Amino acid sequence: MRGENHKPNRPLALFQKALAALFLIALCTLAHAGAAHVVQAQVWRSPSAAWLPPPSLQALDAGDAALLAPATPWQPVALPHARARAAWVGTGADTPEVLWYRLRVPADALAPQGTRLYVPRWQTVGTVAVYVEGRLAWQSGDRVWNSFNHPVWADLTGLAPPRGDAVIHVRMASQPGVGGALSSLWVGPAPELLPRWRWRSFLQTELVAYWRGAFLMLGLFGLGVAAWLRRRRAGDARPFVLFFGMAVGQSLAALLYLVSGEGLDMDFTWFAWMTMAALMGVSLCAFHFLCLVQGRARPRLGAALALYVACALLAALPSWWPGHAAALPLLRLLLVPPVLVLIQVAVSDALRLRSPASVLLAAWGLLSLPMGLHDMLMQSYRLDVEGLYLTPYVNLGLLTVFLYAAFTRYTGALSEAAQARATLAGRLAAQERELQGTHERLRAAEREQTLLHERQRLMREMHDGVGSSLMSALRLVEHGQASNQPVDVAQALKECIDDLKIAIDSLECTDADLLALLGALRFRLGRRLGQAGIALHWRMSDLPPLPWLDAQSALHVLRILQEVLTNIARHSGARQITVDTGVADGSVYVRVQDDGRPFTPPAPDALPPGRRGLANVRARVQALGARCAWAPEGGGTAFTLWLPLRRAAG
Amino acid sequence: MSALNAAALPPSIRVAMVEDDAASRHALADAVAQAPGMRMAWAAASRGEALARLQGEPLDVLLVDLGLPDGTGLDVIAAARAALPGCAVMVSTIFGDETHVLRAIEAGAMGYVLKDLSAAELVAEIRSLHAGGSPINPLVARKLLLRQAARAPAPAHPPAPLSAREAEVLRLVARGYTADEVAAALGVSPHTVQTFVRRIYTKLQVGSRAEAVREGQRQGWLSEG
Repeated sequence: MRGENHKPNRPLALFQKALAALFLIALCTLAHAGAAHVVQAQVWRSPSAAWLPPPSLQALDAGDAALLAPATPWQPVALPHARARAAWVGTGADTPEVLWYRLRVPADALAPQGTRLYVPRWQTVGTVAVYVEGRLAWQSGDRVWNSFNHPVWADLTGLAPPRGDAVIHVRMASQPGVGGALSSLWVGPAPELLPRWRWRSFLQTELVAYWRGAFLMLGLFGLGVAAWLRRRRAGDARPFVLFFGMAVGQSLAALLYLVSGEGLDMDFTWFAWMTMAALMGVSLCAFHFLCLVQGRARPRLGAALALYVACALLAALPSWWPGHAAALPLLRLLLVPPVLVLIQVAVSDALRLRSPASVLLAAWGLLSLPMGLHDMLMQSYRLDVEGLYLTPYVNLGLLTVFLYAAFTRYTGALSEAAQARATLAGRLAAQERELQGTHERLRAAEREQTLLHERQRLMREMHDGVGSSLMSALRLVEHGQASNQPVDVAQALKECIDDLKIAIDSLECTDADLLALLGALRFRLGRRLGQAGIALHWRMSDLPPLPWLDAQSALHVLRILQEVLTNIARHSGARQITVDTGVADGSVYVRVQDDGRPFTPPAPDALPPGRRGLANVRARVQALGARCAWAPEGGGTAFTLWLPLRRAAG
Repeated sequence: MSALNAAALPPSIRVAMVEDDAASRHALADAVAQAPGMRMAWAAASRGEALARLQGEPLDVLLVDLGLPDGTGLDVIAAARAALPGCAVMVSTIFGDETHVLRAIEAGAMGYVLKDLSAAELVAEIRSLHAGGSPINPLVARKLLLRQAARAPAPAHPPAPLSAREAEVLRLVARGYTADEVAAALGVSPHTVQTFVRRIYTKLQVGSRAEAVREGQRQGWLSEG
């Protein structure tokens, strides 16, 4: 085959090389297949009454004594060999049924070193021992803690004969009526048998153990979530608690398939009862979990199930059953009704919900029926004992599907929450836009209002201030012309300009700084006072800011002081004016002191027509929410204006 | 250089003005003519006329009104600073308000005169300015202090920081104290206070000066042949 093709086609050559390599590998595998698969044996029913196997075939008891005798009636059988369980295993005498198997291993399967015996399965309630060439090679552990799910793996080093075939004896002592089974045997080099043994161990025990451990962890996580939910009152904690219950129950139940021949530090019958109780608990938890997760309460069915479980567990108590271990397979039938209830629940929910998770759950539940049947048949030796027990997978698969159902529910809730958040965010954004619109409109209205106020203020100022001054000047000039008196027109106009300047100054932003405002006033009026021969003494001290001092208020302050200063200059004959500031009694004060004729203001309601300026001062003081007073001081008069630090809104 | 020039110059102060109001123009011309040691070089009524006259004889003091019929007086100020470095420019204003004064100072003015000053006061202001002093008022001082405080949003040419003395001068002026009172408070002569003010103005112009020269060249105000 290899010599046929010699074409210089590169891909083809590569393909040929790969083929050749595969062929070589297959050849090697075949070449090393030195292992012997023993499928034929002979059996002999021994009259021995000993549970414990003899230490070697040289030390046989009376019952087994005939084992090596040539006349012993060995019957040929095919392996795996099973003896059926009796329909009713009685309360059981304590004498075992002893069965001997004799089988021959060809010499080419044996080597002085590294030969292994691999027995995929044996099963009974009792003891098993394997003898190679008369010497004990392996024996099972406790009589009832039988490790039916752990394949036998024994080292035959030093036991095989130097040449020729080896004879292997297997002694199986069983409780009467329970039956028993022995699978076929493999003998050969360890590397040959290792994959078979490893895979079987992995599938029968290790995988189940890992799975169980993972679920136990998830169960604990679920318990944590439940505790958190309960404390925060953030949601229904029950499904998580039930999941934890299932995980714990499953974990206990799986021990049946995991525990080794050495057993546990407890009575086997109680252990068996416990695994059954655990399975019952799992079914109860699963029932309620399904009802919660699939959103359909079944209170009556739940109560009935709980009652059944209680009765069944009570009935199965080891105390009632002397031969409990033997009756165990029958007692396990008690598990069938809860399983049927669960399947019914899963199927009805699947028909109702038609969600992937519920359909998967129902399908798996239905599938578990034939699987359970398979195990039951296998346990009663009606099926090939070399198969795998499927129930651990059924339960663990169910847990996985539960997990999937919970997961889809969780992600569904998450996406629902995300959608709700998105809707909420959208609504919020819309509200924000609306608010912003309202805000814009309000601000526009406010701007309009401010402009209107400012316009009104300026109009009033034009009318009462500059306009009024100009009108007075005009009257003065007209009156002068009429009466032929000299009139200081320039002075009148300068006063008009001063009025105008002060109005302009009030428009400048002074940032609540009263001293800046007073500085501007001095700049405007100081020169005029100087020309009138009045010395102005300026004594400013630091003042706190007056937040309310806007343009309108600033103009009031300027006009008040302007009026006071002008009056002093015109009417008092003063030579010195001192202006000082300070803080007293929660107010800022500005004091204008002169050395002229003392001035006493008339009562507000008795103002002579000529003193309109005074009324003006009082009106502006009132508008500011301020106070003012004239008092005689040092031969002259002191005018004080008290301004509040803060002004009430409005 | 300006000191050397001053020493070599004839004793009279050469004054020019740009003012579109004929009455104000005549009033000032009269006041200057009456004052000893001072003479009127020219008086222009528009921006264009002023820019043309700037290329003529050197000046000591130039008074500029901002609102001119054919443009803003700021152009004239900038052109004068570029063409006549030894000339002290003043802006002529009605109110002495900070907006107009500060813009003029940034353009190169060394001070301001109020339009309603009497003839005697005006002549005194011109003499003071020529002697190296600059007038200031509370409104302008306050604005300069605020600028100094808010230097963070720096323009293209941030003003040089003020010395403690200069800041103190501004602070007192902003509160309404006159130059004499400030001088007394600081223990210096009134003239020294006015030279402080001149220095403050100059700092304000550092950035805008280079700008003005460039702009002057671009606009052809500077006759470089």
